[in-house]
Amino acid sequence: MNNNEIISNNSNEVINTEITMNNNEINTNANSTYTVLIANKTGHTTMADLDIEQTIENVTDMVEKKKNWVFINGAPFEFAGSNVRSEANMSKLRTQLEQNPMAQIMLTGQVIGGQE
Amino acid sequence: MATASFTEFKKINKQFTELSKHIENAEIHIRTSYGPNYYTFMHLDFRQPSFKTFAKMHLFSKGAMIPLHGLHGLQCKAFKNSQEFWDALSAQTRFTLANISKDNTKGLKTLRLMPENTPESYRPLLIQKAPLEVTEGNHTYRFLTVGVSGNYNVNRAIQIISREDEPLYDYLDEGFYLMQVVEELKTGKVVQHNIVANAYDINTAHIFMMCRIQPDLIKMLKRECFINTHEAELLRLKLAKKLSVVSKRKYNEVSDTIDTDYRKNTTLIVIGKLLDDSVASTEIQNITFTKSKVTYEQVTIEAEGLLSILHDQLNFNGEFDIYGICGILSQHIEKQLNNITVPEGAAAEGSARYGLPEIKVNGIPIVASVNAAGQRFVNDSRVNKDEVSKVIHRASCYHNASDYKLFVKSISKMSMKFHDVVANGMQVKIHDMTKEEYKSPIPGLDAPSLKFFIDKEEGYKLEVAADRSVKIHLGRAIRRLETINKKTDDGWYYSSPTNGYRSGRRNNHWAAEQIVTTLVECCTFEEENTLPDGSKRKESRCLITRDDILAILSIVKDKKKEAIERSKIFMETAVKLTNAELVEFMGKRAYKVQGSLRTYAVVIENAKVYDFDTKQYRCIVNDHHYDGAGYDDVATRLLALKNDSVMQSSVSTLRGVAQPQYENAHAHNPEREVEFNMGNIVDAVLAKN
Repeated sequence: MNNNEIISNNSNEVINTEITMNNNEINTNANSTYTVLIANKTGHTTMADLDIEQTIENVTDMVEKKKNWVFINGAPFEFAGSNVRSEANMSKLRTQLEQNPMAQIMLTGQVIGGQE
Repeated sequence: MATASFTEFKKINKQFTELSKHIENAEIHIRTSYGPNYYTFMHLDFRQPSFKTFAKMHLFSKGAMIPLHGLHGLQCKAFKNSQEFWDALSAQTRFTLANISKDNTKGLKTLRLMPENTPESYRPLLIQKAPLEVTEGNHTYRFLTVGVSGNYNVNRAIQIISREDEPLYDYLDEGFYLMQVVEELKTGKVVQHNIVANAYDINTAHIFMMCRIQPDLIKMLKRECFINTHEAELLRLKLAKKLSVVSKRKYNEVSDTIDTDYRKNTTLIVIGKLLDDSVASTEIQNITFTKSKVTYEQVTIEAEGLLSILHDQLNFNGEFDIYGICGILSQHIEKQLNNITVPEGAAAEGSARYGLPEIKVNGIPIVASVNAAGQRFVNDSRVNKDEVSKVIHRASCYHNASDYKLFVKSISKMSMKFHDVVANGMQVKIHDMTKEEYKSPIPGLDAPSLKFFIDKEEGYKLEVAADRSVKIHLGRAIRRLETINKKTDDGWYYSSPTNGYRSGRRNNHWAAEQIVTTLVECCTFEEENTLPDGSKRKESRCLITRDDILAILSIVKDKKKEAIERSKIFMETAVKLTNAELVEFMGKRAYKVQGSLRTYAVVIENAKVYDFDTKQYRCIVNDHHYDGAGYDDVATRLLALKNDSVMQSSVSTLRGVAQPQYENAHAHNPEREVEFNMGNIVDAVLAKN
């Protein structure tokens, strides 16, 4: 919300106040697209313009098959428990994506502490 | 020793008292089974029963099934002895009653719904043959037999005997459906009902289900036993209104299964109708089916008995297309050809052929045949035994008989496999692969290919470079390369001790070695040389050189280069997302990244991680699942370090102090630029050869 107060030169009275509302509603599924970048040995894949359902499916698939780490706009997304596709995980991922429209999701291999 | 409650024993005692009135003799077995909370049920089995008359058998059958094994003692005019009676019962089909199955849809007009999802306890049995009728005195009896497993030592039993004065008698016809329902009355008495329908469709299926759940509804049926399909729709509504609260809940839990079956299986029923000529054609998934022809847009397939073949092999409820149907028919033809028995004494090669009936694909007539020597022909052109189905299938791509004829002739001269290899090259597993690719005998889509072509004068040649090619034994090469691809599974090999013990993995490097050997052998030809004394001598000469082989294998280098370039882009994305800064760190190029816990440096050359301020090493390595290439390791580390407070749960060495003592503990040789070390492999193999 931008609050444009116009104050006259002569006084401190507010003569004209325009309040413009930018409709910064969170973009719903229908409008958001996502880009998923996957790194693996045989080639790097970039999947652009995915909708939220496609994004969820691709991300979940790669985590299940390749045990990838997930970073949404550089921030890690962790799946809880061993069931990647549990309701809680799916709901959490959906919420995260809805809060980050047009996000870049990077799927990488895992690293660990060398002495583990 | 079996023990049971007083109540259970009273029950079986009562059963024995009632049934023993009708039976002369039998072996009595008492079975136990367990219910909830380990409650023990007791069951009486009468084995090897002896009956004097059918009347006695009829009365006995009201309380228990009658095993056929060991049945004896019958004294009746209709049969000389019990064996004759048993033989009469088993005539035609083994049992009168059978489960409804896919085979029964062929020609059976009364089956309009195939129960697949409907729980078995709610499915009636099919009366698959007319029951045996026997007259004794003033009565006629109908016998319905069934196959039983588990209850007795044998698996044949008489389930129902119906007398002509019982309502059920009039409805025990072939093609009808029967269900037995047990009702326990409030008095504790157990009553057995039999209900029959003259067709099995969605309405009668629901009625059977409701009667099973609430047996007192049976009295609403015609003569308390019969469901007429023509009245079933209305009857179903009436019965549904009479369901009690408890019954309704149970019915609602299971009734959807019938609707699911209805949706899935009406297709099969329609196919059944096509088969028995009830309908002339039908359309499924935009494909038109008749008994002998299938059409989709411009593609048609015609064959005698086509629908019968598809009925057995095609899942009409699944995904399919016209080309899949063509594939099924062509494989069927290839199998039939393999089953043709050539008459004994038939002359060998060049003589008469034994052919299958003509089929048509896109109007092109096709006849597959085999001669006495086992040679296969498609329309007079000889083809390889294992390529018959492929050649026939390919006809779906042609709409012109003369074009197809040219194709078949070309296959006759050079097999389809050779055609495909010359057209598309032969892929080999000498590149970096995932575990899944290693497991597959066929290389992945992005595997490098060896290219071949046909030279008019020299025959098959292997492409080395734009301006160089080498003659090759193509058939031999294809066989060897297929074997190498199959064997390249990243498994261990151990060579024989006589050659010097050697072990290793059958990975892409191993495959490259094998291919070098193959190329050398397949590019070696015998030449006739004239010696100085004028005599001629045959000598083997290898036409392929070291440089040729290196040039061919360099395709791997190109693929690797591409992967590394892409990994650089991936890394740059990670750099942007983590706001990493390119710096010089300890004399090397590195990215500096700010985490929540501390600042780090990731050396680009080897992906080692250091605390930026203290310059101390943090031991972070790739996980065994790690599947990256090129600079992916740097990208992963940047992202993890940026979020160190979260990631320290997965990467323990981010917690607490650094681990400088382990700086050289792990050998990590990441790919940065492409090293092409095939030269060593090639030299080693050439030295051996």
